[in-house]
Formats: sequence, C-alpha cells, structure tokens
Amino acid sequence: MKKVYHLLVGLSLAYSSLALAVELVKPESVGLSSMRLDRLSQVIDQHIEQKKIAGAVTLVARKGKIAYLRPSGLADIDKPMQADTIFRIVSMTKPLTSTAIMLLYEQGKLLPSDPVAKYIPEFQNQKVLEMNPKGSEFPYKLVPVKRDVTIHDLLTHTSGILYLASTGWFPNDKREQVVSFYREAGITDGFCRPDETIGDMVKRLAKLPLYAQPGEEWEYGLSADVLGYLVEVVSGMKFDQFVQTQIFDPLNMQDSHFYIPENKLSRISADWNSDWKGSLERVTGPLIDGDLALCPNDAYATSGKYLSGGASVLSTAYDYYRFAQMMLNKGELDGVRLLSRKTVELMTATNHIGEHDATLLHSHGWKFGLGFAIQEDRSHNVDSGDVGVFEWAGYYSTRFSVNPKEQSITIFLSQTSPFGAHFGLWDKVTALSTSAIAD
Amino acid sequence: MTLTNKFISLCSLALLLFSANSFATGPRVAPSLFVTDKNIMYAQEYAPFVSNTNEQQGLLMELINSVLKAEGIVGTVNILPTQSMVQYYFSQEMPLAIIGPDFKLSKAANRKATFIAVLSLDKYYYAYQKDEAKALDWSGKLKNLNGKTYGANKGEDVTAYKQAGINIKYARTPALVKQLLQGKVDFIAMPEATFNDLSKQYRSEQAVSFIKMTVKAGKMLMGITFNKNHSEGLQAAKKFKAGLKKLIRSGQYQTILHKHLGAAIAADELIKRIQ
Repeated sequence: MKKVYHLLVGLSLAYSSLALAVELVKPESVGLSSMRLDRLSQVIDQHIEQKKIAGAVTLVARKGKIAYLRPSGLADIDKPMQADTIFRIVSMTKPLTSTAIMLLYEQGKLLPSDPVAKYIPEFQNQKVLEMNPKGSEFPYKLVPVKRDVTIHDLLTHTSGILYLASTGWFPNDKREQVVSFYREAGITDGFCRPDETIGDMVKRLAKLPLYAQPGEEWEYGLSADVLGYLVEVVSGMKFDQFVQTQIFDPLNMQDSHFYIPENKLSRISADWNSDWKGSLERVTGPLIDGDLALCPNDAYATSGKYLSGGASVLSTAYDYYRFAQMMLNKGELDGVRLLSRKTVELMTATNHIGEHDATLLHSHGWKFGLGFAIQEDRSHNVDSGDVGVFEWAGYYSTRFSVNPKEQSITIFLSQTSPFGAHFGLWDKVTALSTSAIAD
Repeated sequence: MTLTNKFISLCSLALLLFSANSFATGPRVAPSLFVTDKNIMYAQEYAPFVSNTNEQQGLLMELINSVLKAEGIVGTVNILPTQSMVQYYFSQEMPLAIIGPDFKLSKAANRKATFIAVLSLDKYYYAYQKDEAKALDWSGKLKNLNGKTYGANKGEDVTAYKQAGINIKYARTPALVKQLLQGKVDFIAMPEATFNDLSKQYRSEQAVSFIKMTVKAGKMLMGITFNKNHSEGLQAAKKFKAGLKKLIRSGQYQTILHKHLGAAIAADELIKRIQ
C-alpha cells in the first residue's frame, strides 16, 4: 500500500504566516528511486559543505505527486533553509506573465499575431538599428521595421528588444549602441525596482531602436516586461492584481508576490555571493557588473510601483510546483482549469522560433515556446531530459524543468550570485532527478 | 451598375477592410500603414516642458503647437526619450524640425539648422544635504564647488566645471534627482519647474533637505530648430517666427506661461529674453 508522508511546511517557523500541508509521497510510489534521490541530496550537500552555495530548496515531483522536497543549508546567517523559504525567482516570473497573456487570449481579448502597437501606440513606426560600415561618417543608421512587433514576438523573445545586461553576455558594437540608447533613456533591466510604473518604462522603450528586425533574431530581453504592461492595458487591471486574481488565487499559490507582505519578510532567503571556490558572502548591497544591476535587497520592499513581468515575483518551491504542475497537466490543477489543453500545447510547441535557437541557457537544440525554453533535439551538451522538456531559470540561481514525457518536475531554488557558476550544479540536479526515474 | 449600387459596393468594401474585426486579426492591417512621415518633427522629452504624460504635452509643446496650428504648419511631432536620437534624426534624416533645448549639434548639422527660441528659463543649482549648516553655496563662482560631483546630462558642455576641479557624473534628468538624494552627485542644475516636477515624489519626506542655491546657474533656452534642407524648412521657420510674435502680441503666450508656471512668473522678462 502506498505510504503517504505529510510534511507541515513552515509550522516550525514562528514567523510563518501560514502552515501549508504539503503531501509528500514515497518516491517508489511514483516510479522514482529513493536511493537515487539520495544522490541528489548528497551532491547538493557537498556544494553547501564546500561553500559554493549557502543553501537550496529542491523539489522533485512525478505523476502529479511531490516525492522530494528538501531544504538544505542556510536561508540567511544563522537561519536554516526551510521548505517554505521565499526566493527571488526573477526570470521565472516570465512564464507566469506569458500565462497571463494567454488567459487574455482565451478570453478573446488579444491574439498573439496582433501588433503590440494596437494596444500600446508608442510601438508604431519603430526603427531598427543597423551599423554602418567601419569608417562611415556616422556609425549607425535607423531603418524602419519590415513589420510591426507582435505579441508573439514578445512571447518568444524575437521582438528585437534587449536586456542591457546582454552587453556582457554577447558583446558587439551594435548591441552596445542600442544599449547606450537604453541607458540614456533611463531603461533598466528591472532587476532593481525603479521609482516608476512599468508603463512609464515601456512607453520610453518603445521609442528606442530595436536590435533586430521583429522575428529575425532570438534575443532574450525586456519583452516580458512589455507583456506585463500589455496585460494592464488589455485587462484594465494593475499587472500584480491580474496575476494575483487570475493565476495565484486559482492555483492556490499563497506565497507568491510582487511585493512581499510584511508578515512574510523573515521568510525571504538572503542572496549570497560565491566565487564557487569556497568563498561565500552574504550580499548586503546592489551587485553591479557593467550593465548588469541586481538589487537583492529590493525583495524586502513591501510596496512599490514597478511590476516587472520579467523579474518581479517572489515565490516558494511549492508554489512554483503548483504552477508547473498546472502546465504539466495541460492547464488544470486540483479541479481548477486555468488554461485549455490546446493553449498549453500552443505554449509548449517547439516550433515557434523557426530556425533560431534559444541559446542563453543552453546550446543549440533548444527552442523557445510562449514563455519557456523547449528541448527540441539532443544536439546539446546536457544529457538529461527528453525532447519536449520545457524550463526556465532566474538570475539568482533558480530553475525549473518540466518533462511531459515522464510526467516529472524538478525545481531547484538557491540564491547565489553570480548566475553563471550555477550551471554545473543545475545540470547535475536535472541529471540526478532524471536518473532517479526507476520504472 | 447604377451609381447608387456602386456607392453601396464601395462602402461595403471599405467596411470590410476597415472594420474592427479585420483590424483585430493582426499585422496585416498595421497602424503604421496610415501614418505619413513627410513633415515629421522630433522633440526631446524634458518634463514638464516636453512630456508624453499630459494632454498639452507640456509648456514648450503647448506654445509650439499653438504657433504651428495658427500658421498652418502641418506635421507630426514624435516625442523621444533621448537627446541622441533627436540629434541622429536631425543629422541623418530629413525631419522638418526638432524641438527641445538648444541642441548641441555637429558642425554639419548646424549648417542646416535654424533655431527659434520659444522659452528661456533660469536654471538653478540644487543640492541635497541632511546638515543645512554644511549647505553648498557656489556664490556665482564654480571654484567654490571644487572637489564636488556635478550631475550632468549627456551632451551638456561641462568644460567650466572640469576647469573648476568639479567631478562629473552623467545621467538622465529624472535620474539626477534620485542620484542627488542618494548622495551619488552633490549638485545638479535645472529649471525650477523641472526640479519641482521631478522631486515631487520625494518631497513629502525630504522637503527640508533639498537646497536651491540662490545665485542662478544660468539660463536654459528651449525652442524649435527648423531644417533648412527640408523642402518646407525655411518657409516654415519664417512662418513660425511670425506666428510666435503674434502669439505674444495677442497675450496667448503669457496665458499659457501663467497656466503652467503660475501667475507669479515674470512673463514680460522671459519674453524679452527670447526676443
């Protein structure tokens, strides 16, 4: 008979606002090996012992049940990690934003093929920056878009809108020139929360040149922030209210917020700076590296104006599991249907960006759906998962992966900077959670 | 086919092409298809004088739009968030005019520019200090601010500041106010209306700590720069100049000025400056 474990998450925390009863099942009952999942614990613990990361919450679910939910290490100095610790999930906000857009799509209020200018007039008559040949009198020129940026372009990151931080990832003259306009116009990546509304930022951004013609390049950037504002324009609601009432409430995601309620402040994990060699320091101020600006302390703000569709949400492993499980269930969770099966199939289809690859987190072989990177073939370096796996990550080292073929979900939440060093650990986490499949 | 039938057919076709439904089907009928670029003008956003956020688009835009309308100068104004883009369009493309502060244009661009001043306002230095006893005071000599950091706009001429041993940090005007508050810059310069507009959100908590230095920092000239190379540029500039005079003579200029800057503003003195 299936043995069921119950874990009262957060009950031991005096400052926890509520205790969530999370049902944990024995791994073998859902075709996972306990012994193999122990290996996952060992690898994470090794990283903590070696002071590469301070702590993490890892969750593995299969066949609609959570079989592994393990807090490890520290959430803050002298504060152990808890299963309900709250994390800055940053770019894992983007799939939530895409879902908000698709809810409006299902209500007949917009189409992915609609030009963004139909709703945000500032997107009319956009220009694309092209570099002139070296030695030209003027270094660049602005040429008209061949076609308007569409909502689909924003969902798939083919709008030509950049992140400022991309000057560090893929430096080139053209990118530098476009980003110099962003800097002058006071555009930020939204990882630090500016004193303005998302609409103020998006209206300025729309007037600046695009990096590439719409649909012609895959460029990770502020597109999801534009989508967040689009939700406001189309729904008539503030973006956070829309997400709260249309996604968080129906999915019972009780610990997901744009701005943290005061009674949950103590549950936020600290951010840690790691050299990945044993030097680990709690981050106390902003982290600035060229155009990349991170403000981990902004997570403690209990109110504010800026609602970034690309970066603002704070959440827990359990809450994000509920969102991921809804997607895995093709739009339904615990009897609540959020999206239709056909919409989820549309969002997770592999062929949205044509010949382009979503190469930010992965190498070739990964495509981008409407809010997720999707594994299209096996020509990449990470030897785990299956074709059709969809996932995304967040800049403070958070990541989730959904495998529809195996009906499995892996979520790993840490708060470690810089982001790049964490790839190796994440790859091991997915490899070990995948190899724990034992049926 | 009778004339009536032809008319009905044409109307039906128009209805089919331009109905809300066909528009909602996506990029096939894009708004950009219906916009002409011929007499485009670019303006640099500079609150509260050139702004996307209010109906009249700010004081400078209301003055300029009044003259353009009265003189029948037809054109579309596109308000941009950066000075660099406005300068780019003027030097590399063929706009009818650019609007904003007296732009520092390249020599080549300057040759085709004819600037008409529409507004001249005093600029003041602002500082933020918790201890008022240590308040900055430049007393008309920049040397008194030696070693301090000045928050400048990109493209601003900062030679005099550098000669006085003042450090320079560049940022967009709204960001400068925040940087002042954060102690990243020691002083900034802007018209009082701009400072009041931008510092509004900080004022409830910080009212005492913002310090306006009494000696003026200089003047800020704003207006419209027509493009002599544009087929209608010279003619439009001539019309605009005459139209501005008419606006002043009629008292409408003063009314608009008072509406935006308050009744106490010395309109006559400001008018003398631009004349």
